[in-house]
Amino acid sequence: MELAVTNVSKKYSSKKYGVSDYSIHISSGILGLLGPNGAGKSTLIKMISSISKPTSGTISLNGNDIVKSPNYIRRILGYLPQDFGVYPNLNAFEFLSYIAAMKGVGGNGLYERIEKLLVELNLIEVANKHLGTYSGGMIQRIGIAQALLNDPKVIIFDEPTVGLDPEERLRFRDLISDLASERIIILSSHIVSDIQSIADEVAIMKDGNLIAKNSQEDIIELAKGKVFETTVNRSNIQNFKKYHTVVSSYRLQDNFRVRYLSETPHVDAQPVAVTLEDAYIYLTKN
Amino acid sequence: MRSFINIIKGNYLQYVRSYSFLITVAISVYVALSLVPSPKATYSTIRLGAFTGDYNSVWIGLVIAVMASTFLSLAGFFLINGSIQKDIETRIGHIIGTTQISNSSYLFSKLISNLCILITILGVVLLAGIVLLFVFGSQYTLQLLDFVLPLLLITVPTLFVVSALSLALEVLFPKKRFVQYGIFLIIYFVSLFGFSTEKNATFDMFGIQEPIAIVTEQIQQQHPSESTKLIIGFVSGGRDLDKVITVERISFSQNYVWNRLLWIIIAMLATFLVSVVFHRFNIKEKLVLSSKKVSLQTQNSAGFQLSNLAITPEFSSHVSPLIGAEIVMLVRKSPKWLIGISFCLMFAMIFVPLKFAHYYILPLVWFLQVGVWSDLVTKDISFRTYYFTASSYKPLQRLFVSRILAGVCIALLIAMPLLVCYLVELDFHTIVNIVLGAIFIILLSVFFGTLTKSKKLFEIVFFFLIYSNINLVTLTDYFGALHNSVSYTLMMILLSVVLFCMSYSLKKIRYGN
Repeated sequence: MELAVTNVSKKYSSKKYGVSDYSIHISSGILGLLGPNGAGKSTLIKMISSISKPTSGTISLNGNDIVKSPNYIRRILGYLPQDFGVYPNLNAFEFLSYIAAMKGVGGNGLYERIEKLLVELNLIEVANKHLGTYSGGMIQRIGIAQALLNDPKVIIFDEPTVGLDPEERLRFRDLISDLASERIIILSSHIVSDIQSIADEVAIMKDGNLIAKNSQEDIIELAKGKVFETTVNRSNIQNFKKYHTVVSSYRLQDNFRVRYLSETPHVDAQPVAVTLEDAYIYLTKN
Repeated sequence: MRSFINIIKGNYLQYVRSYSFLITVAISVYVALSLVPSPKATYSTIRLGAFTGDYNSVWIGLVIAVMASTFLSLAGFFLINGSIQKDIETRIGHIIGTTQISNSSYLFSKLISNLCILITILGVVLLAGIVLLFVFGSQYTLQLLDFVLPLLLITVPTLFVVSALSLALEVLFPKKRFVQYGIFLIIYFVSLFGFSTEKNATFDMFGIQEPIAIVTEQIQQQHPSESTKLIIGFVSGGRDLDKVITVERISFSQNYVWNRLLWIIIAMLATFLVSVVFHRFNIKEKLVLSSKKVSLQTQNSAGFQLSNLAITPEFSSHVSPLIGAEIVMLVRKSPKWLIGISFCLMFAMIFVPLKFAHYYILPLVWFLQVGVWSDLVTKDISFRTYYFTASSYKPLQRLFVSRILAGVCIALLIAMPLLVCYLVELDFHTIVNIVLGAIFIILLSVFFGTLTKSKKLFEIVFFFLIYSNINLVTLTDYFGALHNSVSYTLMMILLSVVLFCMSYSLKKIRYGN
């Protein structure tokens, strides 16, 4: 599987670009897509999933232009949008059957696959209830189920862990790892830890551009020697934050223990092991 | 006060900046132009016996004010109804519910913003009327007061009442759109035909009785022995059949002005009263079990184990499952009592005279499905499932077409008793016309839904269609009740093809393929 996004731009107005001259090649495996709000992640995802067309550039899957022939990817696509709803008058089984019909999936195995999906997603007990009565987490799991209905070869999850409890989040990570072989999985999330634990490669976007794409190790390498920890007095913390890029901080009685990025650290600051979150903030803030 | 105005402003701008409002304004211009028929038109809107007014500021102002009070109030209700529902759907209601705003402030802000929307449309109608004065009544000069005063005294209080009524029904019957529509229509028709008469002038919500009485008096002074019975609506017969008289400026009595003010106070009082029982977006969802029970074995799982999904379903591009699912959704959307009424009317079609069933019952029972059909292609937006449908396999050729077919299937199922009766009579041409009518009305819903991404326009147009169908207006007969010629059948085929092609092209642009 080879997905190639080449010189793609999405122009919203004469001066505003969602994505600008963007190129990325994605092979089988899990690609974590990171970026601050407004970086263009959702715009890119919508173009790859054939929901919107790029203003210029090409997107191809295994050499087939999916801008011109969107049904090539639609047949093998599993897509979980960031913001979606369901038909409240249908129950889980009916809704998934309906989505299966939309995806062009049928045959004798469909009923059993839906049932298995509902079992695996812990929804089987409520499968006869109308979706209008489901909680946010249950709806999110219905979204995950519909994305997996057609045994997809390209899977796009946009903020998939929203609404899931910590245990479900861990299970979801396992599921994605399980799916990865022979498939392209694009996982867009604000939660760096979701991506850190499972992504083979990480792409970081900012202002509609790709600013880094590499393995986690190589991306972490970019921030090596630039992450420090120090203790700052409570009265100085606001001033410290003003002049440094703080990754995280926690309180220690009258002081704060601060993790921050710097080229020239304080004398009492200790260098620490770099995480993906440090590297992400280093790349997007600088 | 400032925050109150800001809320009104926000509500108002949110609505008028929508694409559907632009379409509404365009239609308002068309309707305004049709309210004042050209001298060569074959219909008239207000006639007093055999008399109609010469096109001066007084007459055009009066016609626009009276017609807007009676008809814009009807269309306006459908236009503004759902403003609280919108806050529920967008979940803004949950935020509003946690703010300091009181129930009455929230509802009054909705009342005023809804009124502003209707007054904006009224402004468009007024401008169109002024243009028509110069087009049709070149010998008169524009007297702005003659235009504006009737609108202020006749129409605006009615719009106030309609805005309040819409809000009250939304508060009292949340999420029950059919009930809201039903109660409004009962109030509307009872008010129009029961109280807008000389004897009940005090209860004349539309405020048309006194101005019409003043004009009648003017006519009777010049023609004492002539009948001046009021005929209002889009009635056949043009100005060439009428006696044209010049209507002088109308002086509204002080009692009338107080009466109109009283209606505004009643509207505000009603809004205040319902604010006491306003749910403040704390609406309990009913836990309902599906009618279709799926036989499921009790199975346990550690959860999210992909290896358990060993079965890979086959690829199938058949549309029959889609049509089936769409039909299920259409049926489930109707409340049970509405399905009951529809079945009773379908049953009645067999026993009443054939023409009566065709002229009156068929359009009525089709109209009862307005809430379901208007949602045919807009439910992706209202239920936020657009991304699922847009990324599905061949959405245009499969899903879009399935939705049309599902709608047509329901329409034909409803018409089935009548179709069988015509089959017994061997009247195949009428059968074809009814089938074309079913296709046409569904495609009309699809076209308006695709164009505006909203169901309101179709609902309003469908209402005016049923109004004119029951009044046997030949121009709007889309189901072959009043026509039986080959040219009519060909025209309906052509119209359906045009509607389908336009909807398909629009949807193609939206789906980006």
